[in-house]
Amino acid sequence: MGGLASGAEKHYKMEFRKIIPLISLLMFSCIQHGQEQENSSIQESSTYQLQIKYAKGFEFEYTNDYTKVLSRSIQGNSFFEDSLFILHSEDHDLEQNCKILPTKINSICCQSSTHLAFLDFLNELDKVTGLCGTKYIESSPIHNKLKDLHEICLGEAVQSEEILSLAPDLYFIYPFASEEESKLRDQGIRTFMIAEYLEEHPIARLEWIKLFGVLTHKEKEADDYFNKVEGEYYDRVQQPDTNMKFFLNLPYGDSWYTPSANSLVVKLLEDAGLSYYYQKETGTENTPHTQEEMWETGTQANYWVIIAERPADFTLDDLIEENEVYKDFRSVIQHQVIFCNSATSDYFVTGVLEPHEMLKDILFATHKLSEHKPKYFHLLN
Amino acid sequence: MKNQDRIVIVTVGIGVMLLFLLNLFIGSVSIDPSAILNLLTGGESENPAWPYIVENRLHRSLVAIFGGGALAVAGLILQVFFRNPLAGPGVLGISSGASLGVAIVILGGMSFAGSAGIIVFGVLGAFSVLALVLFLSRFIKSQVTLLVIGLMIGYFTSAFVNMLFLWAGESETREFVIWGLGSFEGLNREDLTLFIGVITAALLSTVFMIKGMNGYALGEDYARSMGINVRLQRTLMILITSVLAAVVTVYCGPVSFIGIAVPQLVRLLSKSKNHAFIIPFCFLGGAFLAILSDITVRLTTNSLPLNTVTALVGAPVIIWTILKMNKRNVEM
Repeated sequence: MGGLASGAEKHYKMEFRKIIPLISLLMFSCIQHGQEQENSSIQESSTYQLQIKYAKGFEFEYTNDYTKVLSRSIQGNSFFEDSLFILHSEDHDLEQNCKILPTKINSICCQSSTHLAFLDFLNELDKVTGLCGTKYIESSPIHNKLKDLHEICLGEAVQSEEILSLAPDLYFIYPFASEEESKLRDQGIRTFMIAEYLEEHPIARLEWIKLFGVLTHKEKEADDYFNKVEGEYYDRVQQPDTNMKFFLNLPYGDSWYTPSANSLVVKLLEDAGLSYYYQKETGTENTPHTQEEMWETGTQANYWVIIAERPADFTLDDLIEENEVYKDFRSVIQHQVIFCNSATSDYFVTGVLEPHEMLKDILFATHKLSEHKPKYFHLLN
Repeated sequence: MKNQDRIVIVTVGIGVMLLFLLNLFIGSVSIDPSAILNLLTGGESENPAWPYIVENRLHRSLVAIFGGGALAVAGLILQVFFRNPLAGPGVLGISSGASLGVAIVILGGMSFAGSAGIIVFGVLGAFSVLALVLFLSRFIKSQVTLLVIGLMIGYFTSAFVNMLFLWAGESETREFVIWGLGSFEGLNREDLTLFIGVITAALLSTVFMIKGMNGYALGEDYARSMGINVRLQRTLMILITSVLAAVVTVYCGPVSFIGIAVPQLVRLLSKSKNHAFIIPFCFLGGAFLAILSDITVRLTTNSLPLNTVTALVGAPVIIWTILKMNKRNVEM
């Protein structure tokens, strides 16, 4: 018995020896996180206080001690809320676990290339060190402006080690990665949820530039640009004509997903005077339809709007080659297929900043604007 | 052929016919049956979309019949070959091999090879994996071990597919994901002709294998004693299985479970050991299950992928087979 006991004792001693370095590592790890939080500091109170007109997904709260930037879900989406504080005074009553923006942001990581468009406009692109899906922006003009950009994802999953080694001052993430967000936050990464894509109007989406303006202390530039585009956009808005019906997209496998009538692209097209074929589909998600249904719709709708990645010289004949049925679509017969080639235009990146240009493209394609050089959408010939 | 077998095969055949007609007449777009019949007999339609819709329903029904039938026959041949009721194109990694071939073309930057390239690479992939399994089978006596080896080869090829997937561009990965969900939809007239032509040729070739398969089912030595050229028989079985599994995988995606489940169900319905009966019965059984799955997919507005539906039907059959095998082993 004694022998057994002493053997077990020895075993426990050895195990304990192994555990000590592990405990030390954990302690060291905790200390590192603590230091990370101390990097935040005081900034001068901004004289430029921005008002939000259209966007529902974020807001600012100005106090003498800090500016609170809040991003949140819009009605109908899964609930989330995130906040970031810009301090103006040491005398604040914020809780210790609040996310506080450092005085100077030196490095930023982004989960979406759309975030890059906002940062590019504000001349902050040089601070971007990591992006999820770098290969998807290789053809974008923005790619050339990015130096030493690191891929931070494998597929769609964030690579913690890569993010930790980059140690960005701020990491813009999508809210659907909330589990990832809390994990990264525990590891000392300052994340902030951006959900500009949930807005229900292109101008509301553009208004997120104000949020980026506040975070990068370029409120005036952001506000001026927003006001300019807003003016240009609403000067050209038309009432939807119920005789000019449109439908969207291409099939995905056996199904054809049509965007909700509340989606950004539908609002844009309605502002150009077109009327959506699936106006009653007002949910937050795309609705799957069978190909049969869409083929019948295709033979009736006046316009077919497609946003897809295709070769630069893609023509109407190439489209018909994809499926013979298209040649009997009313829009194809009448040469009224409006196409945005996401391979050659920067629809998913700079397009967010230029809803006025997109509106003009649609108006030009529907012959409501006589002179214009299309940038995103054009009639397929 | 026993009277009972005759009744069963005729019933399944009638079932296939009824499901075929049902698949033609139901759909998310309501078309009058007289209009469908009019279109099928070369008439005109008041709605320009209807001829395409009816043609599409006809094509996918034919693809389901021939694709499902081909997979079931391929599964049967493999089960006879390996003398293992759990053998099938999916389990032995043959479908994974075909998937790798397709992935090389779609994801590996060889899309210029077009559909011909996809077919060639798909067949090569399937053939290579089956050849490898056969080679390894020389050194392995246990059937279960061989199945595990097949599964491992499947994982191995899947790892390559995953790597290609991560390196590929967005549109290529989208195309591959759609293909991977499995579907009997989307074949145009030319593809359909080739699809049916290749499967028919492969199935007709099985006529020359019937005697061999009857002997092979009792063991290689028994087959030899019957005067069967075992080497030729093996080659034919490998070739036909590879072609059948690869053609269906290339055109319809990796459709799971039909290949294993249908031969089991056929054995449940008939005690016949004669492959002159079992092969056509398997074909009809596969066609029945496939077209039933396709109808289910269509009734859910295509929101349920084909592989999900076939798994719902096929997986319980396989579990039942394993339990049956286990019971037999315990009794022995």
